[in-house]
Order: sequence, then structure tokens, then C-alpha cells
Amino acid sequence: MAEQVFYEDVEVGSEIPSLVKQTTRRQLVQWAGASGDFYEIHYNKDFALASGLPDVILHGRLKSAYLGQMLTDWIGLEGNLKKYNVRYRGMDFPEQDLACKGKVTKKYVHDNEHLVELDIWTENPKGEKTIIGTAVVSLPAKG
Amino acid sequence: MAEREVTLEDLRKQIGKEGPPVTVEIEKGMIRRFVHAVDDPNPLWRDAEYARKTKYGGIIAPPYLLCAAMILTEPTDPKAPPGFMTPSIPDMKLPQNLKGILDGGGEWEIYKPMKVGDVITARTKLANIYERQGKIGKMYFYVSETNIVNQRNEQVAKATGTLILYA
Repeated sequence: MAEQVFYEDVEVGSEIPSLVKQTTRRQLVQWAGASGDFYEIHYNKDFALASGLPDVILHGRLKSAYLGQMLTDWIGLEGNLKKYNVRYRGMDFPEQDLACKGKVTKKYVHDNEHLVELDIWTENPKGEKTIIGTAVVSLPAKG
Repeated sequence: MAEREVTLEDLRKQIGKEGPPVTVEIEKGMIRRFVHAVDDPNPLWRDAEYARKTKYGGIIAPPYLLCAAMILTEPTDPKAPPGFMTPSIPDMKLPQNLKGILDGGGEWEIYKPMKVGDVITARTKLANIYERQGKIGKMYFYVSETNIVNQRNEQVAKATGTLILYA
């Protein structure tokens, strides 16, 4: 685990450490089982091809979970993930790099909480954003 | 009987409709399956010894467990047609000539951690339905809101989801 990040360490406009995930087909089956989303386009290639897709595609919600992992990795044990949202804009495929990224847009103190707002997104190997969203986290202050 | 066209007004009459509450126990095995699927090595979700020494006092579920809204619905019928996910709101009226359904996005607000042994109850209601003209036809946006409380009736989280229905 990385060292704890503090509110004072954060600058508006700076990017947080990115997380690159490469998803295996096995993981798609694992996510289907864990989440209960058994839509065949995520693990049955015949079905995906018959649906007009070039291959099976990642579950949007698995990609959202990756963004969640990026955020919980960054905020460490003392931070809290308070809120995040996503809009799905494009498909992603297994065995490809998917980069999860975030950029600080705002920081402020509210009700004694040190809050940081971010833009978050996933990026495919072509550099296209396949999810865009925002997040709010609280961080410990050095005080 | 000649069927009258289903209008947006008809569909919007369902706004506010609630599904039955769904109760789920947060189990260690459930958390393990999630973090293995995501391939997330964070010991807070995996290592009881490590987690015991943190402010949480034990393993908690990663907040992204909420991304799996399907665990908060009734179990999917194994014989349901491909691609069909049991909606958490029963007898939901859908647009005519439905061509497909896509997950448009979601929002998760987290108020309290979910610990191993917690029993959470989710209540989902249809919060909004609206229509947009897309390139290939009409798109209907179904927005659902799920409130999640724990066994102490403390609000744990709120999840909002948007399904896009193409007609």
C-alpha cells in the first residue's frame, strides 16, 4: 500500500496515480458470478458475435469497480470514498489495457471534513474515454 | 383487440413505484469473490489480521460492491431469455417495440462502511422516466433509486442507476 495521502498534499488540477487494468475472460466470468450480471455478451463469444459485437465486452459495472479501486487505493486507510458517479460512453474488451484516471477539480472544508472532488475516467488503448464521471472523497488533514 | 400506442405519459405513471425490499448478508465469501473478480489486492477487504488493526476493526466490503446492483435484486431466473435481467421493480411497463437495453451509468453515495456480518436491506423505486430522440430512434431513460440500510436501520448508501431503453 502507498503512503497515506493528506488533504494538504492535494493540488487542484493534478492527476492522481492511475491504475491500469487488463481484464481476462476468466475475470468476466468471475464478475458475472459475483455480481449476478449474467448477460451473455460478457462471456459468450458466439452470443456477442451474433449480437453484432466484435468480441465479448467488459461489464460497465466492473469498469466502475476498477474506478472505485483506483480511488480507494489513492485515499488510503484514513480517507473515505463518499460518492462517485459514472456515465458509460464506450465498450471495452478483454486482454487490453484499460487505464483508470482521475484529476482533482476542487478542494474545500465542509462540516469539518476535508473534501476533494475529482473528474474520473477510463481510457482505452486509443486514448478514448469509455467512462466519464466524478467523485468526492474526504482525506485526513495534517492539522 | 387493437392496442393503443403506449405513450410516454403512460410510462411515466409508474414513477414512484417501488420494488419489494431485498435483504442481503455481507459475507466474507461474497467480498472475496468480488475482490478476486476485480483483482484488487487491498488487504482491508482480504486480510482479517490487517483489517482488525484499522479504524474499521475488521474486514469491510469495498464500496464498489454497490456497483453490483444485481445482488440487490431478486435472483435472476436461470431460464430467463439471454440478456434479460430481472428488474428489481416488478411488472415494469416497457416502451413498445423495444430493441435493446443499455446500462447508461450510475451514482453511488456511501455513508457508512459495510462490515462482514452486516445485513443490508435495499429498497428500489423508479425515480424518473424521460425520453430523448437518438440517432437510431427513441431512447427512454429509466432512472432508479435504491436506498440501503443496515440491521440498525442506519442509512449505508444510496445508489442511482440509469437504464437506456431503445425503441
